[in-house]
Amino acid sequence: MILYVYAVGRARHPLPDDVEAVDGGGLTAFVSPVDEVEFSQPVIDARSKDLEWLGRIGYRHQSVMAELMRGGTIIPLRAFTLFKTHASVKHHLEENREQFEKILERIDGKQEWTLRIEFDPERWRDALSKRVASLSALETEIESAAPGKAFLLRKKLDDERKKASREAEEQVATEIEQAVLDKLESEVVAESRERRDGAFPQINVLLPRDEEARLQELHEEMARRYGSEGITLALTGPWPPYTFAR
Amino acid sequence: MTEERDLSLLETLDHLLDRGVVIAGEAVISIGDVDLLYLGLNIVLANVDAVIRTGRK
Repeated sequence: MILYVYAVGRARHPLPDDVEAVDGGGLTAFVSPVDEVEFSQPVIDARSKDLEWLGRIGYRHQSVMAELMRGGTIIPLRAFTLFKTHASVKHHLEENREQFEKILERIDGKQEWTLRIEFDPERWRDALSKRVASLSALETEIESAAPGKAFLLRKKLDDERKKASREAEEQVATEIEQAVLDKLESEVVAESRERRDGAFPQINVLLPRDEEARLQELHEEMARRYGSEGITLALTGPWPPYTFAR
Repeated sequence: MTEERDLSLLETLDHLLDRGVVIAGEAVISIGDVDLLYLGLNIVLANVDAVIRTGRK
């Protein structure tokens, strides 16, 4: 057996069912023994497209985390954090005690929320032409151009549109990040589309519990502001503060 | 993350799996003398992100 580690917390934190404590350096790691073959790299790689299997592990991970969070502040670890032995977990706690304590202080009484910025392809394309004058100029030029020239211009338009879209996306993300920082007592980590392997960019917000209503208000305000450009802001949470746990 | 809020499986997986680890393409079997294993799930992540990206169109 090897150990699947869910989270790190303070000593004497209440334990969920089927979860063991490993103590070290005044801290506790919350672990469950798992089969070392089932959780070996080759087996995981082989099953990594199996959403049902992954979903079961994710569901278990999430319910343990929810239960742990009811008992107080914990540092959540991502899924598939595995250690070989109890001794290695204990050693890890002792070795990183100061760092873990700093993180616990930082996230005490706070929760993580995610604002994902989604772009509707067609409506965002139209909005871009309004934002960037050179794009609409090219579109007009194409309409009256001879077929050969129009073909080349269309290719140029495609390239310029991609570039403009990237830049405008970044600008929108920066504006939203800034609005959150200006209006709310919070820490923010923005993740670009690049960072997210091509998925929509998102902004992770570490927020005190009593600021939640103000985040909802700000979300509605920004949704109205950007909605006409085909931008949807998906607000989800509260999540365990994975982004701020290191 | 309370039960009342209906966070989908994909949203959850998107949070549970650390892209930082994945992007580095690491399968770290041991760091120094600490036997810490972080397992990369590149393929899954590409999948999850793709579904999240297209699922809302």
